[in-house]
Amino acid sequence: MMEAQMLQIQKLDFSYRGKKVLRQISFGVEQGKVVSIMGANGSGKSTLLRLLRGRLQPDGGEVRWGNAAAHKLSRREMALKVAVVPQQLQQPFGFQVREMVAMGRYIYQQPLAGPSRQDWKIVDEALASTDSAHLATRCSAELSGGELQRVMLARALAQQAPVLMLDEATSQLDMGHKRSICLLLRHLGQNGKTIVQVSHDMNSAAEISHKILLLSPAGEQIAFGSPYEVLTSAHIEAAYGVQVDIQRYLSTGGGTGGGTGESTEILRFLPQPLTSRSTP
Amino acid sequence: MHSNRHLSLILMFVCGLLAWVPGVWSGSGSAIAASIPAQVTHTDALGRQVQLDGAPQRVVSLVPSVTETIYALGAQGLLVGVTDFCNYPPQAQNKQSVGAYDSPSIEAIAMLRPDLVIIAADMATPALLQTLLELDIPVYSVYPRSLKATIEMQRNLGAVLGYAEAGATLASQLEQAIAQLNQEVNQTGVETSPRVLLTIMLEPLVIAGTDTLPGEMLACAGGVNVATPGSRYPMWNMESVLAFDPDIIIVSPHPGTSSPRDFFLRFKQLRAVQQGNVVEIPADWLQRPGPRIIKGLEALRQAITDAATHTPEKIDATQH
Amino acid sequence: MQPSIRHTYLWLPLCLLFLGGAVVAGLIYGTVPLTPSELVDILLHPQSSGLKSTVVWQLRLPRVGLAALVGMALAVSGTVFQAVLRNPLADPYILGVSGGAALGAVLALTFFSVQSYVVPSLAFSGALLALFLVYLVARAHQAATHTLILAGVMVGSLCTAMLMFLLLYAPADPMRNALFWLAGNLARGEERWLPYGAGVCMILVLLLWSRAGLLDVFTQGEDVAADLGVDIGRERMFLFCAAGLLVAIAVALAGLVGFVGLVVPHAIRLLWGAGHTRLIPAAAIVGAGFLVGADAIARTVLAPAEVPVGVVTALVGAPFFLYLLRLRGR
Repeated sequence: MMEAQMLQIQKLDFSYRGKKVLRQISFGVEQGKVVSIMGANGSGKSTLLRLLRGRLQPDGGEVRWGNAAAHKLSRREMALKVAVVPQQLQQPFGFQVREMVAMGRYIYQQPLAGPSRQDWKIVDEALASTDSAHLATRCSAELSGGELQRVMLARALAQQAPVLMLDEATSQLDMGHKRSICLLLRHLGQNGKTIVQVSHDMNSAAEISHKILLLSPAGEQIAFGSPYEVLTSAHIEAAYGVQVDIQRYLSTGGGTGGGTGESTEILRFLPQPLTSRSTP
Repeated sequence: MHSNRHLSLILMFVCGLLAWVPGVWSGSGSAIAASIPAQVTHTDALGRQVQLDGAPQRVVSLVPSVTETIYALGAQGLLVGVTDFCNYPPQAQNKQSVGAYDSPSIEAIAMLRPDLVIIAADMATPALLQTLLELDIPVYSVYPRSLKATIEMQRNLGAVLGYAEAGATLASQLEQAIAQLNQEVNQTGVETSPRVLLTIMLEPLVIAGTDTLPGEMLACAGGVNVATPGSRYPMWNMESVLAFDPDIIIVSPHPGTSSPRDFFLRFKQLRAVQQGNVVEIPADWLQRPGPRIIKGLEALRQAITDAATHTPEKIDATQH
Repeated sequence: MQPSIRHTYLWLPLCLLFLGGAVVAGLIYGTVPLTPSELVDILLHPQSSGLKSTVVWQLRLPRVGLAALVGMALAVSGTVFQAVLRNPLADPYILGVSGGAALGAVLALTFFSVQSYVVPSLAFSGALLALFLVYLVARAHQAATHTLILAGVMVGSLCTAMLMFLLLYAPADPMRNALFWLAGNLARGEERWLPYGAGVCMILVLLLWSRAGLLDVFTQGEDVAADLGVDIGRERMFLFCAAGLLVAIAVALAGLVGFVGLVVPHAIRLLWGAGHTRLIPAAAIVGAGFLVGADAIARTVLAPAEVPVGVVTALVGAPFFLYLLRLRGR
């Protein structure tokens, strides 16, 4: 019944400068699934993501990739397992977009050689799969936010790691660009990529995630499970201190590109109107 | 003795008071002048009027050439402070130093309680001058950039320091030396004048142009400067030296560089090298406008007359 | 900056053309004027004697070689520092190398003062020592880039302070000589050092070129670079040491020549983008050509006198740089 666990997190504790950031986090990530980590600002989501890829050492508990503890893996070994799409970052230098994506092939390059013909082929495929083939010769410093984020995603894909991690990768994008990246993620998930993302967008997270981990502001695990199990009014209020209306729709899945054609139930979260707060 | 000193102190105090009352000093000045040092006014190189109470007794020299001149005047007894650069005569190094000529210690100067500080107009900053004046220390500036100015400086320093006669002698010695050289050069004629390169520094190769003290000295000694007329201290390179191929190359050993002669001896095709006319003259003889300028003039003249007797064959013989 | 980076295949011929032109200018122009045919004749007959032959073989060729070497070293090290520090305004002397070299040169001129080779060797040692101090700080800390820059600035200041202290003790002549020595001068007589310097610099430049992918990744910031599989601490140390060594060699051979390490990498990025597979060799070639050309101008405009080459690099480099910035609209 259970698929292979890529990643197993058990009773993870982490503190930073004497302050507990994460307490007793336990969950697993299965291959080919989309997992979203959610929670208020400062609840330790990004820290958790860093712990998952071994950039930080936990105080208690462990993060296991198969048989290995995450923080024991070298940068190179980890880069072969996980590709990261960072938050929007400043580009002080203008690269050709193709070269920018080729940075994802760094781990595969021999010390004395640049990208091989094979590497460039993978780069072009990655650009095509993120609908950015037309950007190939553009200068990275001149891209719009949406274009840059697609290129970053293409770079992570060119890395050909089984797991993709996104740290609020879409939070600075407008609705249209956000939507198109979500579609792309779902499509990738359907094609076997394991995705772990930190997201603030409850609607799209509920739509594309197989599992959601909800953290409390104190860094405790409120719930882990399917969107239906996790995103309840009580949980959301515990995580964000906001009351939401949860609406359920039935969608036939048509017109959404990667849809399966079956009708699926979709959750929509509507925060209480601002006026209701002022008159309790 | 004791009472005398009291008296003079009181007198000075009274004079000081009188000086504050307009009109009184000029009227009764002649009456008192006999008993106190006379007020004398000198015009210095900056055109400033420097008022001194007679001849100074405690002098700080911030100029190496002035220090040399003071010794040449026999006035070293007045000298209480010098700079780190005042290395001649050797006894000068036993005097209290107040630091470098362009950045002396004001406190060190003040502690010496000088009644005159001598600065170089082109080395000292206006701020230094201002600070000294605010401390009520009289400042006399010199600016010996040419032979004429050097002669003038020797005469003036003699007058300022109360060694007017010695100053006049020193100045006329230099004047005579120059006049004698002029006569000698006129006799031999200008047609045979050798072309001379005056080096100041080798790395980089800085040379003395015509509009400098060494340049003027060279002209006086009957040499033709290869540098562009009107130049000061241009930076050259070996290519230019080869292109101009001077008859004589004057080098000055400098602390911190290898033997300057070897620098040019690498280039055997240079006429000056072939004929053995790479000549060492101490930098201070040429670049320091003090009494040793006469030695510099003589050395330049010697190099030029030697060059006239040198032939290529002769040098080849001495080199092997 | 241009929206697209195309025609990148043109970089090599254009760069080589630039270097070739600069070298020809460097050999033709000077106090002794030459025609191109005279130059060819002289180069074809190395045994012939005469003024022009001596000037070309003994003076201009070594000088052009030294300028090319120093220009290459400075441009490549500037490229590397800019990439690793993610700061387009970083300059090869940023890690206190210049201060160390100055201190070494003054020490040599003050206390040893005999042979001309002592000065460059002590300047080189001083530069390495400064670099080593920065390295120690960086290693102890697993330092962030701004810590490195600060450490560099501090080491530089420390050297300057020691220099000022020396000034109080040492006779001032050596001090002045050292300052002149440092001011950037390509007329050094130390030809026998040139082949060794050239050999080491070539190896370092090729080594850095072979890590072009690494430099690309570093421009994305160390956090991202780590996620792309880079062992940050070790690789950064390697890049700093290689680039620092290049600077130390350049300083020992020619003093502090400004502007090359800043303007050349920048100009090439504006032309052909920041990809280091192209940037490193292009910076090496153009850096060499730039300094050779600047030196030719420095030797010619006021001939027989010459202008300090740093004045020319700034006078030529700065307006060209401004023009590029304006052209590319950034």
